[in-house]
Parts: sequence; structure tokens; C-alpha cells
Amino acid sequence: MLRDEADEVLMVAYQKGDVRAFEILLTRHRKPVFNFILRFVGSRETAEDLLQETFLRVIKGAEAYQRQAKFTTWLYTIARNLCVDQSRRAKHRKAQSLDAPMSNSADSGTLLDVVPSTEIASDRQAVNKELQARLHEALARLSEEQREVFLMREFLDMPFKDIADVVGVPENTVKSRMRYALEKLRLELDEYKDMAKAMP
Amino acid sequence: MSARGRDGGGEVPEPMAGEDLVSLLYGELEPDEAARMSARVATDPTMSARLGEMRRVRELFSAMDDEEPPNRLTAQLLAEAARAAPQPRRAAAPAEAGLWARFVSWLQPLTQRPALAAAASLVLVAGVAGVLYMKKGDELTSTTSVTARSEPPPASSPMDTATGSAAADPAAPAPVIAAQGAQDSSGTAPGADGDGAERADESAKREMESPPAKPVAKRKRAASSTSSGKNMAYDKAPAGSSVKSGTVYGLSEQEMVPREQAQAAGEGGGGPTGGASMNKKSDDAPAPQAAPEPAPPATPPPADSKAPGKVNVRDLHRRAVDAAMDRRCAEVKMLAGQVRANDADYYAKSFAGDKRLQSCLASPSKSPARK
Repeated sequence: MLRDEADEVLMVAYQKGDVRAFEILLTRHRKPVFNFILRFVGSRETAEDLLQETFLRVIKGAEAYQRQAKFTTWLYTIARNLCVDQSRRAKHRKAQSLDAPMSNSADSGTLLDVVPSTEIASDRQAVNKELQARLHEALARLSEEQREVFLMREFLDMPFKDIADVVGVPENTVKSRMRYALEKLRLELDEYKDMAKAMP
Repeated sequence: MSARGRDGGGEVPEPMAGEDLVSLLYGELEPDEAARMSARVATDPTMSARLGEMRRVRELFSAMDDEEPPNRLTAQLLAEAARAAPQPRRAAAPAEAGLWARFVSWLQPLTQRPALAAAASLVLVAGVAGVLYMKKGDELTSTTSVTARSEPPPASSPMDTATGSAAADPAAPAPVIAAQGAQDSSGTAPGADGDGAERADESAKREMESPPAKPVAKRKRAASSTSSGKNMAYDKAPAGSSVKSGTVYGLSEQEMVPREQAQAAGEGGGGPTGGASMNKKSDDAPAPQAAPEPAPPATPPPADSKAPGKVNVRDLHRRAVDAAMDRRCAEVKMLAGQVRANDADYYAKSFAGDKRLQSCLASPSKSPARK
């Protein structure tokens, strides 16, 4: 059955014009890719644009795709490069702190204040909301090299070897970046370490 | 192993075997290596504490919620994927398709344009009709030609049938019509001056001989007789009857006689008068077995009239009749001798029995006297 086929088989099928194969690929990877991009760039609107651009490049590059290449490596290389380019463009703009006022008005809140919440949030939900904001903030404070490695390993469950292929550095460099990313996140989230112990 | 300052992230004091500790954390060590590292961590409180801190970081991020991408993006991407689907399969489709699929794809422009389809149908019908017409004409011509060549000459006396006094030859029915059809088909109306009847009457050798062309006035006369609605007797005869062939020969013999004289003698008044009538006869004739329809021009008339060194006994016969009508019996006898010398059989069957010549042939020889 086509739905159970490997990514590479589906991509070859799409090369032959099978749009259904591409639909399965899109369904299978759109959410992890979107979250990778979202956590990389920190903006949902930008993440949507980059997600669309990522798969458009897959479509355009389908004819040149070779089965020997691992599809996820190719896919996340595209997404990662788009994120890096976006990040570099953003550096030319004034860096905006997550806890800086969103406008010049005195009563303006911070980005942390716009995280969705429910009317009747329990204490745990409120804590979780705060934790989510802090996690995003901690990720944003990582360097790009550390962040991409951490996101790919932690959320995409990519082996260090594959991450090395995507990033284009030796595997040990990836591990080193991962180690420093973990250390930095630990320092950023030290106040929540007890919460982590309480998590189910 | 130290990684300090190697990738720009060396701000944290380097623990021992930091990368190995990360590999242990994410389970990317080989089993024996993992066991060895685990034993080492267990005996090293610093490394154990470091590994614990990493695990807690991971636990925190495990609570990080995933977000769903908007469905509109998915729809847009699918539409784009369908529009820009790679070409190889599309290009390969016709080659992999069967003959029927190729035929259908070939006809697709016609099905999409009704006017073009109608025009193509018209051309197809006209083409088939043309081919059938040509093929049918060829068959008729070939049948006629073969019949005309293969049939033996009639054995009966043309003069007998011409006068209607003799029984028709039962051995020469339909082929005569076929032969006549060939003559008619020549487009030169040879029967107008009696050539067609002569060829049907003579043997194959004599068919090559023909009298010179008659004056135009005679031809016109023959045509007028046809237009007057005079039909041959055999027109009313049943198909394949001996009467038909006999009448044909009789008609031929009628043509041997100058029309002016025939009319004057009262022999041609109610009878057939000329090749044009033969044409008419051919048109009205019941369908023969071998040649159901008039054949298109195919067989040219034989150039018998131009054969050098041959004496045309019919011509002599005609001249003798002319002489007899003028009471030039000496000339009649002289011509009779020539006819007998050249074709004793014809002389016996036709010439000697011609009643118009009897008065001269029976009279004693004397010097020709003109009126």
C-alpha cells in the first residue's frame, strides 16, 4: 500500500507523476517541518511562509531527486537553509526581545503575554503556559548552530549523523553543539528544573 | 575529549567525555559502549549530575506543544503538486498505452471538433465510393474484354438472322452482348456504321478487319433513328434467349446494307437501323450474367479496316449489293467471284443467299449495263 511506503519510494512515485504519493509525503512531514521552522524562527507567520516554500522547493526539485538520497535529509536541508537565510535577514533588523514591549505605548504587553490561554485555566495550565513561553525564549537565546542541532535531534529525532549531513559539519561537531545547547538551556531553565521533575 | 572553543560554544566548563555523554543521553552508542559509559557515569558523581541535568532539560522540552500548520497551506501545496507534477509519466503514457489508446488519442482532435469530424466523414465516404466505382469498372471491363476475346465466332449466318428467316444461333447469346458492350464502351460508336455487328459476326481474325468509316450523314441518320425510339427486336426477348443473339447478328447485317437502300427496299422500316440503335439496345438490354452494367471505355476498337493486303468480303458484298441495285450484274458477278475466292464459306452462307443479288447472279453473263 502506498501509505506504508518509505519516503524515498513515495518520492520516486511522485517523480513519475503520482500526486497521491506527494500527498502522503506532505501529510507525513508537514507538522514536524512546520514546528521545526516555527521553533527556529519564532514567528508563526514566517513559519507558514517558510513551510510553504520548503515544499514548493520539493515539488520543483522532484525531477532532480535521486533515490539514493534520504528524503528527510533533503527535506530538512531545504527547511534549515530557509530558516538560516531568514535568520540572517532578520539580523539586519533590530533584534526584538521576547520580553520587550511590542509597541511604544506604556500599556503594551510582551510576546509572552499573547500566548493563547483559556478562560478557566487551572494552576497547572497557567504554569504550562508560562513554561511554553520560557522554552520558546530559551530556544531563541541559543545560537543558530546550537538551535538547529537541538531542534533536529530533540524534535525530529534525527540521528547526529543525519544532522551532520544536513548542517554540513562533522558528526562530533554536531554532538559538541548539542552538548553546549543542552548546557545553555539548563542554565536558562534552571528555575523550572523542579517542574521537570514533577512532569509525568 | 575536550570540545572547548571548537564550535563557538565553549563557554561551559568541559566535562570529561562530553560528546560521549550526549551520545549516551540520546542512545546513539553501541550497546557495549553504552554499557561501558554507563558504568563510568555511575562511578563519577560529576558526570552523573551532568547527565541528570541534561535529562531534565529534555524532560522540559518534552512538554513543548506541537502546533498544526494551517490546512490552507496543505491544499495550496497539493494543488501546486498536481499542477507541476513531473513530466516523465505523462510523456511515457502514450508509449505504454495500447493500440486502441493510441487510436483514440489520434482521433481526439476529431471528437473535439464536430465540423472537422463531419468533413473527415465526407472525405471517407467519397473515397470509398470512388474506390468502389473504379474497382467495379475495372471488373466489368476485364470481364467484357475476356468475354469478347474468348467467345468463339457465331456459326449462324448473319444474313439469315438479318432477314429473320433463319433460326438464331443458340451458341452465341450473352457473349455477343458483352462484346457489344465493349464496342459501345469504346466511345467511338463503331456500331453506327456496322462495325460492331461485323466484329460480332466475323471470326477473331476477321474481327480485325473493318470497313472504312461511313459518311457522316449516315451516322447522323443512324442517330436519328435511335432517337425516334426504334428498338431492336431482341430488346423484347428474354435474357439469354437465342433470339437475342440472332437479332443482334441480324442487326449487324442490316448495317451491312446502305441505309438509303435498305429504307428504299422497305427492309429497315420497322427494324433496327444502325449502331446507335445498338447503343440503345445495349442500354436497354437485360443484364447479362457477365456484364450487368455498361462498361466504361476500356477496349479500343480493332484497327481491322486498316489491315493491308486483306480483302474485305463484306465490302465486296456491299459493293455487289450496290451494283445489283443499279443492275450492274456483270460487276456483281465479278465481285461474287472475288468473294468466293477469298471466303468461300461466307460466299456460300451469306453472299449467295442474298436475295438482292439473286437477280444478277441468276442472269446470264453479259456486259455490264448501267441504267
